[in-house]
Amino acid sequence: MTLPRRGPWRIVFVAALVVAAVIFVIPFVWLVSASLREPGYVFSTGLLPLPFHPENYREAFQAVPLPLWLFNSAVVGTAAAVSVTLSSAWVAFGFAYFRFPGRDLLFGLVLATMMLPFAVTMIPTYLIWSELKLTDTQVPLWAGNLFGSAFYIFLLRQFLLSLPRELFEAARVDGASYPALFWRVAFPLIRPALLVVLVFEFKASWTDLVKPLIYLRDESLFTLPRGLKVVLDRFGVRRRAGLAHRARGQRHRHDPDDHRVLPRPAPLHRRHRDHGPQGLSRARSGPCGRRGRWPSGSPRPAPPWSSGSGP
Amino acid sequence: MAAPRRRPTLARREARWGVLFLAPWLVGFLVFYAGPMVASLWLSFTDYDIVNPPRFVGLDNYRQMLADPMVARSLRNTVYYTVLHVPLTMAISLGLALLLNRVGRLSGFFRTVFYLPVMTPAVAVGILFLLLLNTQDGLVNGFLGWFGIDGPSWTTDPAWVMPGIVLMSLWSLGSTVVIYLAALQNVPRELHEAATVDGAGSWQRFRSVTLPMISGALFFTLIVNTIAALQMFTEVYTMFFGNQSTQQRFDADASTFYVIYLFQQAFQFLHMGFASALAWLLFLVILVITVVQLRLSKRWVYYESEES
Repeated sequence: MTLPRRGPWRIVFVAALVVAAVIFVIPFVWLVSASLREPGYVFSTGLLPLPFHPENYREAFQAVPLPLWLFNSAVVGTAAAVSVTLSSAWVAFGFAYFRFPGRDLLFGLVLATMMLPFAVTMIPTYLIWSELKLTDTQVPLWAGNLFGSAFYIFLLRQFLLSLPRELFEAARVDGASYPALFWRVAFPLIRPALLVVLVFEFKASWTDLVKPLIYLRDESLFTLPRGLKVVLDRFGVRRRAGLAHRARGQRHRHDPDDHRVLPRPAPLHRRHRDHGPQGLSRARSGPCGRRGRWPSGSPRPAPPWSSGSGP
Repeated sequence: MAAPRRRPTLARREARWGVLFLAPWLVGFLVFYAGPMVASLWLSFTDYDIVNPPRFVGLDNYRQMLADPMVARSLRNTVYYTVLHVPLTMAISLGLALLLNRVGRLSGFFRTVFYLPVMTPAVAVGILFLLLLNTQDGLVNGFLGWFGIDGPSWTTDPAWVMPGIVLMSLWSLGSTVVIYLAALQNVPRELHEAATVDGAGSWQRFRSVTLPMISGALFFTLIVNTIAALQMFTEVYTMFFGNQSTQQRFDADASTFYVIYLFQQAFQFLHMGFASALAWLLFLVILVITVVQLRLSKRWVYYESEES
């Protein structure tokens, strides 16, 4: 719209943006700096990493299997990104090139699935993977991607539609089969869009907590976000750990009002039960009575309605 | 001889191949959308704990939903969050986008800065803000201290938990900024020039030219942000839920979002039937809100292609 302003107004605008940018960046700076401070000084004001204590990182690597989690995240992320890119491109080509009755209706259905909240399909999907005995593996974290994903199908279809149809017809005349049309003509031409899909999905998988929370119990299978959550739950507050463990400072150990002050870490066998949603592991270890709907030690008392329910 | 028969064969062959190309999605749709939707609707009328087979209980789960105070509480929390988060996100993003639109080439750098938090994993955001919002020594209260304000207990005081969460959510508004900036750059300069010639001041130009021209983008972000806000989960779950020690230190009810309660019911207490009913209520709420917004949008959203 308007030309970039010159003169005093421009300076005001830039100054305002600088202030905003500083606000946005400070959390990052603080995080890095705190992770380099001595454990007792995580909260010391100021942004300088003093007293300097880079050993936090080494200690973090020793305390939890970070390289393994990194590796897991990379494997899951790659599998998720590659599978969703290939399958979505394949399906998108079907929608973009072929003409057959009912196509537009089906495409409407694709778009409609984007509206459906994850929560609605979450439980049955879990039951499917559970039926296939694939919970507690990393398969459910990416295998759903083999069937394409609505948003990416939509995106790639738009790209494919922008290609001149003559291109494909020329290839057909030259005797190319339909898969060859997809693989040798369409695929190379939409490479930038495919790259976008790869990056988007890798990022989505890399940062996802929900699926690992539902499907993974064994710590050696954890992805990084899931591992980070366990670190917070377990070490939340171990005195010795710095921000590389995201821990608290020593100074306020006795403040009862502060959630940072958590009970001392439980012995390992108890702790192990402590992280994450616990119901599933319990269910697996043996049937829990219908009467005991609210497991003991649940954070909430049984609501009034639960007492009368049951056969 | 082949000529007359060729046409229908080609069309049919094309259709057959078309279906083959759509096959992966069709299978995925049946297995991961249509099937689960039916299953979850059926489960919502049953009592099911994974171990024992589902038992049909009719409308019991829905009756329990009305009786369970936590359902109302979590719904209220979620709506409270949405009502704060969405307008604030839109207003601040619009402000930043307007500024970005005025600084020319510099905008690329600032845009990257504003977008960085979007690339940060939600778990990390949750942990980071648990520290930043710390009552005693958090950076936020430290900042407020400069102005002599005794900052609230963001993470422990039930009254301040939600504002704290909203504050955290505002850090990640970068994607909305990017959308607004793109929309602003699409506003034809001639319109502004014409308005200036007509004697419109800058506020009037903003009100009568810029806003209508970007109303499509405003509407899009309104819908998308609302739907996302109603399903808020990861950051808050990271901060306040998970195991006993993360949870028991304060009144967790104040930070129980609807989807968090649903998740707990499903995977912590194994009330799969009850959780399915909760999921359907969520779906219904989202559907109603989206339809209402679509209806209302006809009054304020301007689409260029519809006029003239």
